[in-house]
Amino acid sequence: MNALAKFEKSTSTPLICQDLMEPIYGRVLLDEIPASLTADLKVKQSSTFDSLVITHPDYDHISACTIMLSAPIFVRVGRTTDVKMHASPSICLTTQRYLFAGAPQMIFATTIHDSSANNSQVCTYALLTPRGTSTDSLLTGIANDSPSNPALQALTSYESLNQPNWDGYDAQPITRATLDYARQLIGIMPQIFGPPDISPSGEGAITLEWIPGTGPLHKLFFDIGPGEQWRAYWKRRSGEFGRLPGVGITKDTKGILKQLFVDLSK
Amino acid sequence: MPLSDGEPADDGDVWFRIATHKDYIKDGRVLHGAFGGRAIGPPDPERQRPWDRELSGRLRSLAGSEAQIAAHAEQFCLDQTARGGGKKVFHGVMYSRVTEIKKIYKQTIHSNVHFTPDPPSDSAHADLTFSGWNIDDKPQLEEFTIWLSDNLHALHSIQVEEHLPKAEPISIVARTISMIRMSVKGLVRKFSFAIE
Repeated sequence: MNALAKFEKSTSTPLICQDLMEPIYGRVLLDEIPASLTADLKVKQSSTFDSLVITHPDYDHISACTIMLSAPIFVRVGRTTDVKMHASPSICLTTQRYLFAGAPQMIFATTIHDSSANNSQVCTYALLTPRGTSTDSLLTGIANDSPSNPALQALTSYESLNQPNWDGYDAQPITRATLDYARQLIGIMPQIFGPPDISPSGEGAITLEWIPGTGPLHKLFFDIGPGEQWRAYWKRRSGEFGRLPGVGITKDTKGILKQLFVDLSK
Repeated sequence: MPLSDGEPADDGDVWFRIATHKDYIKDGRVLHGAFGGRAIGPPDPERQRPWDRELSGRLRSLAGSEAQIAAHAEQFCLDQTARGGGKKVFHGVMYSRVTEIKKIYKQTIHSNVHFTPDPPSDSAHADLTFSGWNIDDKPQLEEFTIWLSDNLHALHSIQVEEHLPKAEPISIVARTISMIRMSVKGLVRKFSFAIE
């Protein structure tokens, strides 16, 4: 399935559409941070879903995060999938946290959003993406969460590396914030050199690497974290070394990465 | 002659290090995440080692049979699991023959392998060592990381028995040739650097 499935809000909570956000999907407008919210989204087209994307309309959607479902769920037309979101314990500008129970057709997510930057309005989007769907053209900063993306699958397995010494060599823990950030970055990573090889790092980071068999690039390493920082560094076959660091994700990040990869391919 | 603590390993020996995460090994390569954190650190100051940084591992010649290597690795993982931080599993090794890892990086950092026994837990312990260490910022370390990844190989645990090279005795002639080669390489690099 290649198109985004359309959702409609099936409760009395008004569904608000913006031209920017077409095609329509379920959205819940909150006037205040609730203790919890249940938003039941009705799918218009029977689909198998792999992930839940939660995003915030501020910052041009850069604070989106993706939750991979532990197993794909199939939702029939006319059936309702419940999405529960809890805002607790406090509002935070950059941190997003969630818990996911993984029970079929029931998604529990905890997300913390900032309310101060958008006219005091707290607004949380919930979007279920069908298998293999790219949200790329719709939203900036949302991971392409196809289960065929091995890097994203690997990140799920790294969630257990959240304690010191996870490698037996005194590694630093890999935090949830780092993993969330990595998911976002990997989602907008150019595909010019194909999927990266991914591994956890003892400094609490996620490392990606590309080693093209041909072309001017010998190796490209890309370290994500700890926290919201990244560093790309590479060596061309000519022996030239280069690097490019970055922080956070802005509306320019995707373009910066694309330009970097294009440059390295020449 | 058996090696003494702190002596350089024989050129024909093989240095290897246990990998405890499956993603560190891909297509015979070590992924650079394996070098992060405290993997490469300064030696214990009390030992007064003549090198500046080290990456701990073992010597093939002293580690015994493939079965003994695997048994030691599994015990290492058990011990480290007991220390906390989650369960560790023996996923494979990174390795290099000593003669292949003895290099000079950027005319300054000399890599080598030194025997550093750690009885009773590891009488085959050896460090991949770096002397002349002049790396003091992130970009320099990143460039070094790429270089290091170019110079190490990796095997999954099930490949160790068949593919981990055995230590080979190096003749006096070969040893002399190796030393001459290293000296010439160093001179060539210095000369190249000077005319640039």
